Formats: sequence, C-alpha cells, structure tokens
Amino acid sequence: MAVRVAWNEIGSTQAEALRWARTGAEPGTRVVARRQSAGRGRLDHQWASPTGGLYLSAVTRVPKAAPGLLPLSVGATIRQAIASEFGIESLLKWPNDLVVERSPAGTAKLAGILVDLVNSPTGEARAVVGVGVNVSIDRSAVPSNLSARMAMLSELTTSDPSVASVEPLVWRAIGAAVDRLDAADGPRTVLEDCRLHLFGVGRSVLVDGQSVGRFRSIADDGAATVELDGELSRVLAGSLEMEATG
Amino acid sequence: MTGPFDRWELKRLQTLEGGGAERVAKHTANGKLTARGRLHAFFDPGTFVETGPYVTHRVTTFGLAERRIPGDGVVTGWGEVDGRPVCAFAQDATVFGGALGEAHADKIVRLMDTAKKAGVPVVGLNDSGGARIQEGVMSLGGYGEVFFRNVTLSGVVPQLSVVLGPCAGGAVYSPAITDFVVMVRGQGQMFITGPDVIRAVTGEEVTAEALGGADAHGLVSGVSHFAADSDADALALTRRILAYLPLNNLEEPPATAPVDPPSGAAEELRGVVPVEANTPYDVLEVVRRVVDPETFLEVQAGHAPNLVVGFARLAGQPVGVVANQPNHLAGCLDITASMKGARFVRFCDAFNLPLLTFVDVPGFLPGTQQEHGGIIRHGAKLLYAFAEATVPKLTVILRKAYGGAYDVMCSKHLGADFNVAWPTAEIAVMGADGAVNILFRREIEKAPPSERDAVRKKLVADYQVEFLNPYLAAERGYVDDVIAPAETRAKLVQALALLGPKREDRPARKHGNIPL
Repeated sequence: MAVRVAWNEIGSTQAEALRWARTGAEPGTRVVARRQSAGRGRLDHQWASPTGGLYLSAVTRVPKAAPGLLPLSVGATIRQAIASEFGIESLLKWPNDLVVERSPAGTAKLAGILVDLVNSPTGEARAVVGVGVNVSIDRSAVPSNLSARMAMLSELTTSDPSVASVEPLVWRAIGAAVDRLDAADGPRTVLEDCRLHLFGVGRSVLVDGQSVGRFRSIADDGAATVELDGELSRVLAGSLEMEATG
Repeated sequence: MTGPFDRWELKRLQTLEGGGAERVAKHTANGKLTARGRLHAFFDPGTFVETGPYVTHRVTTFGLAERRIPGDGVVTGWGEVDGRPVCAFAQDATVFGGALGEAHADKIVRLMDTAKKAGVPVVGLNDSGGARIQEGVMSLGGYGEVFFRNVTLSGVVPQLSVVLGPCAGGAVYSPAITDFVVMVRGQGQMFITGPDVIRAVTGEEVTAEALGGADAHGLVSGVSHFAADSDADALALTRRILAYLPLNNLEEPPATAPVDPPSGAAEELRGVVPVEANTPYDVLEVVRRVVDPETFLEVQAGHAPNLVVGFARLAGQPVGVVANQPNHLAGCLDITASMKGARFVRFCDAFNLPLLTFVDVPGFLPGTQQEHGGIIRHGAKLLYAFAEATVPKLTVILRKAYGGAYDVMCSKHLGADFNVAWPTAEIAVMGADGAVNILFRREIEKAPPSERDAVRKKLVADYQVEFLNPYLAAERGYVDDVIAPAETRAKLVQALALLGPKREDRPARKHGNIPL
C-alpha cells in the first residue's frame, strides 16, 4: 500500500524512503519532513534543511525507457510545474539542481533532486526520488554564506507559497517525470526540454579538477557534453565542476 | 582529427551560447527569457525551426573581427501557433546588446521574404539597443531594408511586434508599421530620442519608462496596443491575437465552433442601455452579451476609451468590434478615438474580418483643442476607413446616433450591409435641446419671458417624440429593421451567414488618399 509518512524532524527523508523501498514499500510511498538533521544531496553532500523547505522522498517505479535520464526528467518536470504555478522561470543546472539567476546575487539554488535505485525484497527495481525545495526558509536560520546561494520561492513570487501547497505540485511532477520517459518519444522530448532550459551553456568548467573546458549541452545518455581543446567530450556527473564565473 | 559530424556537433552547440554564459546569466536574472527561449515559449512545443544560426557579421573595424558571434544577435525561424505556421525573429540582447547590423538585418529580411512567399504572419520579438554603431551606415541600410518589407507586407500578412526590451531610434519604425505592438511593463521601451538626448537638448528630465514604457504608449501615445506583465504573458497574448487572424489577406479568418452566451443574456440587454439619453453605461456590457462568451479581446483598452475596439467571435467567426463607449466623454468621437478606430477598421478590412459596429454617439467632441488639433481630418479618417471597407459591415444603433457622427459610425450611407436599430435609438441631426434652440428660436423669443421655459420644454418634448427615434430613418431604409435588443445576436448571426462570402468591387486605382 502506498503511504505518506510525515515527520516533524528526521535525519534524512531519502534514507528513510530507501529503507521503506528495501522493505517492500510500493511505488507511491513517500516520506516528508518539516526539517532534516542530516539532509543529503548528491554525492553525499549536505543539504541544509531547516523549517520552510520541502523535503520529500518518493518511492517510484523505474521507467522502462532510459532510466538514467530519470533525475533530469524529474528536474525538468518540476521546473515546468514551478513555472506554470508561480511564473518563475528557473534553469536546470546539470545534473540535478534547479537554479535562478538573480541580480546582483548571481546564481542561487531553488531546488535539488536526488535519485537512488534499489531493489525491493522481491527483486523489483525501485527508484527513490528525493526533492528539496527552498520554499520559505527563514534566512537567519542558515549561515550567511549558504543563504547567499539559496533562492527562496517565497521571495520570487507575489503569491504566498507554503510547503503544504508545493508538496502536491512536486509529488505530481515526480509521477509525471516517470511516466513521461515511458511515453512515445519520451527520452527525446525530456532531453529537448532539459537542453532548452539548461543553465550555464558556454560556462567554463573544471573536469576532474583540472582541465578547463566549456559546458555545451547534455548528451543523449544524460552525461554532460563539454568542449575540451576544440572537441566535444562526454563527462559524467561527479567529475565536472562549474566555475563560479566565466 | 575530428570528423565532419563531430565538428558539426561542436559548431551547432556553439551557436546556442548567445553572448556568453555571463551575459545570458545577467539577462535572465530579471526573469527574462533568452531569445531562443522566447521563441520556444512562443511556438507550439517542438515546432520551432531555426534558420541562419551560423550567420556572423563581416565587419573588421573597431576590433569586431575578433567578436564574431554565431547568429549575430538575432534568432530567426518559423514554427506553429495552434498548429498554424508563423515566422518569427527574436533579437538577442546578450549579443552586442541586440544591436542591429548588416548581417543581423539580413536574417530578418530573409525571414520576411520567406513569410511573404509562404503567406504567413511575421512576429518580431524586439530587444535591441538600436543600430550597431560600429557598422555605421550599414546598420542604417539594414533598418531600411526591414522597413521596406514591413510596408510591402502591410495588409498582406499580419505583422506583430512584441517589445521585450529597449527599442530606440530608427528601430521603432518597424514596430510602428506593424499591425499590433505588445509591450511588457517595466521592460519594453520605445522612443525616437532617449532620456539622455532629451536632457541635453531640452533640459527635460524623464525616465525611460515614463518616456516610452508600456503605459506611456498604451495609454497616451497609442503606439502600443497591448500591455503584458512578463515575457511569458506577452507571448501568450500574441498567440491569442493570432488566433483571430487569417495567415494572409487571401484567407478567411479561422472559425471555431460557435458558443452561445448563457441563457438570459439576450433578455438582459434590454436593461443595459438606459432610456435617458444622458445616462452613461458600459457598452462592453452590450458587446459581451452579443458575441460568443469570453471571446472579446480589447485592443488599445487604455487609449481613447471613448471608442472601444477589439476582436471577438460571432457564432465562431472572428469579427472586429467597434463601439462608442458612453462611459467616457459620453461616447463622443475625438481625435484619438477617430485615429484608433480608423486604423483598427482598416486592419479588419485588410484581413477579412467582418465589422460589427455598436453606435451610441452624441457627436464629435467640441472645443478649440479638437478643432485646432485637426479633428476634421482625423474624424474623416474613421469615415474614410468605414466607407473604404468591403468586408461584411453590420451596425447596431443602441441609442444616440446624432449628426455627422451618425454618418461616420458605419451608417448605411457608407456601404454598411445590415443596419439595425433598437427601439431606444435616436437617429437625428442633433439632440432635442440644441435642435429646439435653433429651429424654434423665434417662437421661444416671441413668448413672454415668464413662459419661455415652459414653451421650450414643450417644444423639446415634442421634438423628442417626433424626431428622436429610429422610425424616420427606418422609413427611408437607412436602417434595415428596428429590433428588440434580445434579437440582436440572432439577427447578426443570420446576417453574417448571408454576408460571409460577400464580394464588393470598387474602381481600380493605385491607392486612395486617406486624409493622414
């Protein structure tokens, strides 16, 4: 049975949802928390999680077509949902963030996406999709250097968004993102959508901490396409770092 | 060595960079979309086909040889809007500030030539600092080529301009010639000379927004037709306008399934127009109960509000609506209203949109300001436009139709096809007070001073009964029928069904000479 598990505070909704998935929770099961004490981002980075953010991890089925594109599909679908609901045009920062450009503060993170794959006890593959959205966090509750890099939904729109109102939006988007990949021509339309709203095209990037290239696009398998010495290379998540400027 | 396909892949991706990540970040920081993003948002998803992404300028002076950016600051191509083809260009403010040079202009020119051959609308998304000074006279040449095509295409395919950023100097003339201008508040600005030049020449202090923003041109100058609050809003509005228009002057406007107003709307009409000739009301309350529900799209809503113009659908068929607005200046025609109406009527005639006119007009606005401002020739424009139009012309006289303004408002005499009046109509040379003072001056003077008021009142009452009605005009066939307000929609729908395929020929000529 699909259930919604709500916590006031938890270490990580993602860890909890993974636990549910491993013990056989059905797709549709999701874990939400008002705050996380050990919120996790991609590559085990920390994700600041005070009250005022949406922290949701959902167990979903794994799309049959191009499961590797699921994080991008979730990002693009949530981006679209936020644009139509609040009129905020955010950009997809490869591989898994939604950012907005704000002058003079520069790029600020609005949302982050995390996808883990696990097996259920019966051996079925499950995805656990974790989404964090900065909805209306009190900025004094986070360190100022971190606050400067956070975008806040409530500051970008005149409508008064609440975590409670964003949750169903994100929840529906996660489901749509899975279905979208399995629709006819799904992977191609997802990639087109991502490329159209891609952050940092032309920006200089560090690959494996050293060679400087230019970020160009997303390859068909979801890897980053980077221009290095006049040639295009595929770069996998984890070895690419965007420089602050340029 | 890389092969041709690797090279193509790299080159293709490089064209997507625009003016560089830094400039793109700055541009989008205020919620604006990129040039390409705007076109993708404008067209139906997945339909945009780009042309000329590799085009660059060939200027070598002022260090420009090293600054050649693929696309040269304008994205051009075509796509679909509600499944119908449209050509569009979007200036890219991240490349040379969107400034127009020779190659940039060439791309727009080629697009317009394509639109002419294909017979499809041209939509320009303007966001440009003006002429590219480094290219000197070549950028002026570029503008001229664009203007020439704007004029050539005028009345052939609909041309729409969306002003999403600055549009200054010579650049403004292209949108000015196009049929409709949509501006984004706080973002789009149009002026011939900007605030700096004005300060230097006249000493006047004015902000760019106050000088040439969406409100300045939407409310005051009449240069703009629609105001929007964001890129997305402006693009959605532009799509909505196109839904009423044919692709070109040889096509009929796209009809949709007819939708009847809610039941009871027709009966309510009787109570909307006050019988007392001097009581104001909102003519849109009439329009909305006659046309298909939710289809009225007002054009230039804030400019010259004494004359309402806009698009609507009547039984699914797009029409152009012109209506006097008794809520403003009692619905009098003045200079700005005449110009606004004339341009709209000519647009409708050019693109086969039947004209639906609602009349409640006490005359032209009196005053030296009007007379010295040229109300004679400006009022004549509206008359000229109605008379010149050969599309089906349907006219409903709601209440007042006085004097010359009666003639002007698409009367039978100007070639209207179906003219009806409500029982409340007053088709007369002027109102009762004025007429009595002229016609019966002697009689009133002859009466003893103590009785003059009573005599005048009696004469006015007699005049009202005898002349302020629709029947004298109906007796002469100036109106085809006097109808109940509740019948209005049904009668108009029937008339449009008859007159839809109307053909009317006039003597061949190069062009008429409208009093501009």
